[in-house]
Amino acid sequence: MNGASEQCNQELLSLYIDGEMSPEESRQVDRHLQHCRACRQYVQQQAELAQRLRREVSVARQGVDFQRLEKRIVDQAGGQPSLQDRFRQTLFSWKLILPAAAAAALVLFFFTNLFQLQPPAASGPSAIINSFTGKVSSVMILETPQSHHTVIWYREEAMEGNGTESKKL
Amino acid sequence: MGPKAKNCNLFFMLGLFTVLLPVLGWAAPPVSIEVKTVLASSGETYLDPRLAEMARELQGLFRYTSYRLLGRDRLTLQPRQTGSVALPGNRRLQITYRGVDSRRVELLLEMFKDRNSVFETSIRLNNRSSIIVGGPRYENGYLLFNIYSAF
Repeated sequence: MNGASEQCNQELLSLYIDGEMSPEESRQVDRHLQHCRACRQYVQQQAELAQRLRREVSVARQGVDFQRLEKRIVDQAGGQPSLQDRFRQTLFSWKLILPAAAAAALVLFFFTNLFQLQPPAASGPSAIINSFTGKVSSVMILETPQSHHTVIWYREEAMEGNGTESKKL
Repeated sequence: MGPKAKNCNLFFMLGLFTVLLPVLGWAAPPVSIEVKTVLASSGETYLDPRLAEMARELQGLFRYTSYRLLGRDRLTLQPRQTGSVALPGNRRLQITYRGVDSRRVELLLEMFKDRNSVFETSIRLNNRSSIIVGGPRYENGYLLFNIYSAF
């Protein structure tokens, strides 16, 4: 498309209108347009069309709430979970459960050990007798008055030949 | 294996370890037991300084004037393990550690004399506390066995 003698090319003119040509190419088209009336009309028509289209789009955009539209599209696509779903997913995710379980286990562990290290309660006997069986002539279970130490006092005369007797508590 | 999977595995191992930690910690610990053999008698006045605290307690119950330490034996038992201590007068005390219940150690005590069982008692003893078993005649007095346990 060098000069008026060359054949007109609408594809090149489209590139020219869209501004997709190099400066040198654009200058060549300018020179051609000075001599070619048909191409000038074509370019003018295309420019008007583009302008009208931009104007229409601009008017149409004013009546659209894009944020709402985006949310609707995303919700329909199912990619964005609801707030409730996100909370549930976070609550039951392994990333939260495991550290929480670890923390709970550690707290339990330390509480158990601290509890075990505590000194015995001052009140109550030092020992609880669950059962006592044997061949003894007598048995007493006592408690010291101050520190409540449990005392089992038995007589083993039965073993020494004074008869055998079985005591069961 | 991607970095996300590695992270998941790391979290899983950490969680498993920390969940198992208390379970391992809950396993009954070994228990240290000390048996003091004491001869309590009337007549002479003597108090072994190592028995001062025990004697002070017993004076509220008995009228013995002498407390003499004849022996001291120590055992360390694992859960369900049995140990025994030789006592004067051909006696033997067999102790079985059954476990830990809250703050108490569960023990089974069995006294033997001349290889014959005299008595058997199941007790739950406070941690870091003791029970006194006594009564058998020996020489000019009576034998007392102070059994202390701690875990």
